[in-house]
Amino acid sequence: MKNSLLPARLDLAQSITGLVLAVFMAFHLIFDSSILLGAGAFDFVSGALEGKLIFGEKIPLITTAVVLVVFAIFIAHAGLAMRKFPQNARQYRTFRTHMKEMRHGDTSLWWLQIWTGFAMFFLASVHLYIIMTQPQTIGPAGSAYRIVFEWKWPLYLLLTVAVVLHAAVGLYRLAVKWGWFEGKDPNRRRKTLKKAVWIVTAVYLTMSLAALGAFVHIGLTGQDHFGTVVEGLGS
Amino acid sequence: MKTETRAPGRALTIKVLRHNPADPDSQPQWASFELEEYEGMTLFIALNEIRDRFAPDLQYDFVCRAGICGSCGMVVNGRPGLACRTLTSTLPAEITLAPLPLFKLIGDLSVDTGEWMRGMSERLETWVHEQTTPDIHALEERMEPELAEEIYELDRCIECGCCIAACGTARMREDFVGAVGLNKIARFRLDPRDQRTDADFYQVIGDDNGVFGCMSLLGCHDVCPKDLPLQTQIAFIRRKMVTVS
Repeated sequence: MKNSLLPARLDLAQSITGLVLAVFMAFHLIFDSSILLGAGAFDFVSGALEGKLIFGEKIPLITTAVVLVVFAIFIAHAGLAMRKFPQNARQYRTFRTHMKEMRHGDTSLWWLQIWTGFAMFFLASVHLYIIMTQPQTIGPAGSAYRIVFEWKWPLYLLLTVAVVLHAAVGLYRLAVKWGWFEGKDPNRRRKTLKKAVWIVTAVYLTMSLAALGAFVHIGLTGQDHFGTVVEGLGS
Repeated sequence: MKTETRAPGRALTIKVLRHNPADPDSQPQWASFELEEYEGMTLFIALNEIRDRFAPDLQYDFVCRAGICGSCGMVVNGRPGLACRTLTSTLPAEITLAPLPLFKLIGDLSVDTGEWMRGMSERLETWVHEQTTPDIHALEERMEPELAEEIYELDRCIECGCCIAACGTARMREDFVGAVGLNKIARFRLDPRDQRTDADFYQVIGDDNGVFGCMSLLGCHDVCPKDLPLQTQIAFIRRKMVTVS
C-alpha cells in the first residue's frame, strides 16, 4: 500500500504555521511594548498599524482582518500540534515517567511546549476574539481600561508567559527539527541556539511584563509612567 | 621495598532492577549491592563483581567489553547507556540499573534487542536494493573514499537500542522506527549500490511511525554511545521526505 503524502504535508504545515505565529508574536510584543516609551508612542504605533499614516485615520477593520487570519493560523497550528500530544492515560504516564527519569533538556522542553500550548488554546482564544471584535478600543486608554477594569491582566499575565516560552522554545525546536543553522559543528551550534532561547525568553518576558505593568499603571492612575495624562480612560 | 597500596575508593551502592519473566513467581524488585570503587571501574566491571560476590544468577549481556557489540545497553540512573563504556567515577555513589524499556526482557538487565531490530530492518528493508543480480565474480564498482567514509560513519551504529530507550516518541508510540531506523535509511540512501529513490524511501518512513513521527526531542542524539550524527541525519531525511510530497 502506498504511503499517503498527507503526513509530510501536515508536518510541514505544523512547522510553517508555528513559524508564522512566532514571527508575528515577536513583532506583536515589540509593538505592545511601545507603551514603555509613553502613551503617545503606543498611540502612534497602534494608529500606524491601523493605517492612520496612509488613510489619515485609524481603520479598525484592518485589525479585525489581521486577527482573523492569525486566529485561523492559530487554530490550524493547534490542531496540527495536537496530533503529537499524548493520546491516552498510558501515553501520558509513560512520557512523564520517561521525562522524569531521563532528566534530558530537550525532552523536558517538549513537555513545556505541550503545556504552554494547551494553556494557549484558552488564553489566546479569549484575547484574539476580544481584539477581533473590539479593535476600536485599542489605544493607551482603551487597552489600559480593558486590562485593569475588565480584569484582563491575569489573562495577559499568563498568556504572556505562555506565549513567550512557547514561541522561543518552538523556534529552537524548529531549527533542530529541520537542521537549520547547524554549521560545521551542530552540537556546539545547538548549545548556542539553546542559550539564545533563554536570552530571547528573558528579554521578551521582561519587556512584555513591563509593558503590562505600564498599562496597569495607566489604568490605576490615569497617566503613563512619564506623567502624561491619558484621556478617555473609562470610555 | 615499598608495596603500593590502593587508596580506598568510594563506597558504591548499586541498585539493580531484578525480574525473571520466565519465573511465574518473580516480581520486579530492586536489589541493592555495596561495592568499593576503584580507578577505571566501569559498570561492566562492577556487574561482574556483583555476580562473582553476591548474585551468581544476575543476568546481563556483554560480548566485546569495548563499546563495539552493543550488548550491554541498560538504563543507568534513568538514562540509557552502555555498561562497558560507563565509568563509575562519572556517576554518583548511588547507581540504579534497569533494563532497556521497549525491548523483550530476558531477565534482570538482559533484553532481546535483536527481535525489535529485526522487525525494524524488515519493515524498512534495510539492505541494498539492486535492480540487477550482482555478478559475484566481477569486481565491485569503485566508490569514492569520501563517500565510503560517509556511509561508514552511519554504519557505525551497533544497534544497542539506547536511542530507542531514550526516545520519548518511541516510549509513547511503540511502532515508531526511532533514530536507529531513520539512520539506516540515511545510510542506504547514500549508498550508490542501492537504487531506491526518495519516493521509495518515503514508502517505508513517510508516515507518523517514520520520520514524521519524530518530535525532535534528541534524546537519541544525546545518548548515542557511538556519537552518531542523529540530529543532522534525521533533519536531513525529513527535508528529503518533505520534498517528495
